[in-house]
Amino acid sequence: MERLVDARGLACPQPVINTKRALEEGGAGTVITLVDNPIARDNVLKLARSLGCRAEVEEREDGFAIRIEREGAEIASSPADDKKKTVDAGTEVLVLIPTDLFGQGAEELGQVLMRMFLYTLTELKERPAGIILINGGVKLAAQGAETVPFLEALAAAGVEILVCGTCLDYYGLKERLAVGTVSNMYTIAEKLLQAQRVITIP
Amino acid sequence: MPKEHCLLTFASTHAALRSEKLLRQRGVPFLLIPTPREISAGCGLTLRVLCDQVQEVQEILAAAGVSPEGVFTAPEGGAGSLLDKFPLDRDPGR
Repeated sequence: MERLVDARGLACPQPVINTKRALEEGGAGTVITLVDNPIARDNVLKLARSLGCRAEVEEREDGFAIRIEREGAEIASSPADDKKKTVDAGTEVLVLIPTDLFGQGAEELGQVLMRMFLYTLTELKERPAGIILINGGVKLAAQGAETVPFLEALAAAGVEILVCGTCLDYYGLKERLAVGTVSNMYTIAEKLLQAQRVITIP
Repeated sequence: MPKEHCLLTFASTHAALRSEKLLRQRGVPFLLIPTPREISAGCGLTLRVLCDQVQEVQEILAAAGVSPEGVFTAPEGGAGSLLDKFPLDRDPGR
């Protein structure tokens, strides 16, 4: 069975919410979501991935069609999945980084500690599900920042890096984002509320 | 074959940061990392450099009056498991 979600013209995070609803309501089968911009496309793809569904994108004249295959009767909410996520991947842990300096005190030290922290995250077996960069934290993902290689390695290991778009804009870094996905407060607030545990860097 | 990496430890955080600055100025590739747990050292910061350049690095530091507390070869697998992930053959500090 195929279900169509026409999310063209809808503001974020509506495309994701509508897609999620369609996937949850129907049983096994296919959901095709239509979106008109690449950010919505990426967010819907991320949703599909987080639910353990296969997804393909087709570029169309007026945007993108994302074809999401839901195979099983359950989507990523079976107890086994949940357990695996929490124990193995630490899927429910989010790290909120609202500053480019780790802790209060000397700026030089705070900057080095932040680099050391992100480097160390790449070394640890247990990883957070996501890292949210907000306010001064967005500088960590900008071109030229020494933390970029570490964030790239984390992203490659499956850690979702969400970067506050408002903040990038404020600091004039919109064109200089080197790693991560531009996100907005709806997504960020939602993620924070849904996470089992949020670790905030002071 | 991946290049061998050496780890320089320092007696103080200030010495480590000073060394970082010196290497950056001289354009020597390095990566500042937290001192691996396997190495017991005074300060929590360690400079990772290419072993090929460790002599040169020590000379640069010595000329500025800084000396590392210890020099280690990064063990394969263990503390150095990510050496290939963050290769040193690019701009210093990157």
